[in-house]
Amino acid sequence: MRLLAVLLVLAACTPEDDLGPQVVRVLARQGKEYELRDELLTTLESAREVRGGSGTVRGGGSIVVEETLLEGDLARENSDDVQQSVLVSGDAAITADYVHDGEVLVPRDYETLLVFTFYRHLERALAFYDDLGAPRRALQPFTAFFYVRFTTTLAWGAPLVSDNAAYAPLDDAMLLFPSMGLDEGVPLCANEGVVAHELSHGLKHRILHPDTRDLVYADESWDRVAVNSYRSDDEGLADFFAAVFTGDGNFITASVPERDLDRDLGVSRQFSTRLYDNLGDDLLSYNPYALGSALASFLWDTAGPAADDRLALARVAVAALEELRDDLGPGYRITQLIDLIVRRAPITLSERGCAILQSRLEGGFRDVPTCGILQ
Amino acid sequence: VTALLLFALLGADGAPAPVSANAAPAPLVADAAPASVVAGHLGMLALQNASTTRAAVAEVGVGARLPLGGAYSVALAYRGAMRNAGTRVVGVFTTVHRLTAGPRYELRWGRVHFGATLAVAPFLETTRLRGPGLDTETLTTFGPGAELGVDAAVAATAHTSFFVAISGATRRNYVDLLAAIGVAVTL
Repeated sequence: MRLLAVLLVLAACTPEDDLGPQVVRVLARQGKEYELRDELLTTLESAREVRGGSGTVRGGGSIVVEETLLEGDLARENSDDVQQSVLVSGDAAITADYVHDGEVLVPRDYETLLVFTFYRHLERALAFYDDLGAPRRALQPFTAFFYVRFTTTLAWGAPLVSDNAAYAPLDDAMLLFPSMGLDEGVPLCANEGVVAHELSHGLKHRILHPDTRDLVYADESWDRVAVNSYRSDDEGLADFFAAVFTGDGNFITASVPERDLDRDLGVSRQFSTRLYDNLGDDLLSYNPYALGSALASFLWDTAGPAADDRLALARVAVAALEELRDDLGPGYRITQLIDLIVRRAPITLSERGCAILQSRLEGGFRDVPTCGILQ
Repeated sequence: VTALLLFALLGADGAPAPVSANAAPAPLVADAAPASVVAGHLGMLALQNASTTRAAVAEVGVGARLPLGGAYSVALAYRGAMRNAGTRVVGVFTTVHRLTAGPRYELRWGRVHFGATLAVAPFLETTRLRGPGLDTETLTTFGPGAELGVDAAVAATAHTSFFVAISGATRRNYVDLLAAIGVAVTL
């Protein structure tokens, strides 16, 4: 019994932490493929908790629909309540499982490989957005809930969302849902482009909503076209930034090679009358990715193949977001953002962009003053 | 898991009471001497991981239980589980082997037996990252551990019983949980 007690005590000991920057084994992009690689995480503060200057990864959390409805945004009464609302409950600090191989921390379970990899991408994506000129207040560390379980009591707690990632403004956090069905590619949370994409949502929200976690269109009586325009340019910008970050206009294919998500930025897309008409759909049925892909494709083609031009246009897009804050309102349209970007872009890119718009804008989208494209 | 094993080993306890449709339920007693038993089980092992969640994997176990006197016996078992997590591109292959040994206490109520086992459960764990790029060697970890489990068995014949068991076993700073069903044979 004494031996057993000793063993129990030994087993209960928390493993020793590794503090400060560490070299860890991660999954990183090489060309269009991914490979295992040892990389230095310069902002890491705690390897066991996967916490540092870029963010903190939390595990084991749940979003229970009923709790969210009762305690979350439907129950909030003022902005202070919103600041304190917690979308995710039951989360806890990660305890990364790894061994030392010389100076390298080698993951010992799959989840540790994924959270190390996610942190690595988060760190580099934040540096990327810093280089693009994103304001410091928007670059504060992010919280990410790893393998968060979105469920309802009607489903007996079973996870209802998997193989996806999201940014949740109410928690100002990234949600990394469990990997369950995508077996052919790189897990979404280990895809550099996906991390940069979700980070773009967070940065845009922080830039446009610096004082609240609530969405501006939830507090104001925006019409459907305005809300759906906002949601679509959110997706389009995120895809464009992610493509510039990875250098791959179809970065998501590495995670879903077996599916055609139709998100390739290399495909020319019209701002069609159909897309404009769809903006009037109700918020639940509207698909923001279709118009978002048209915006991303326009920006990708405007930038062209040169990396410097892509970075230049991405910088312009970040700056345009800051300017957009003053223009947001119930009558918001996606062409306002396009106009800001074209107006700020270097002359060569601006002219190229306007030429592209001349051929791609249809119907209600033909409202970009800088280019003189009006109905 | 250990409980399952233990239960498997210990759990489906020895000689069942004679089966009689008219027999009145026997009182729950603690002084019935367990018999020597061998058992095997199939279980669902919930392996705890870094994300503070648990991943379900299959486990198999075999073991034996040897009477010590009174309601006590000693249970010995081997249990093994395997997890292949990840996608076609990248993943981690893990095996966990446990040897458990410890005292078991058992109560009987007619054909139904209840048991509890506390055991040392040293483990041998191997993990291997798989993916393009670096060639990562298989990592092997050996460590101490402990297991606590309970089980319930129903005698099917004079020498055979079926059992269900649940248990928790430590593995480094983790606690793995096991739910299992198995069969035990009295020697």
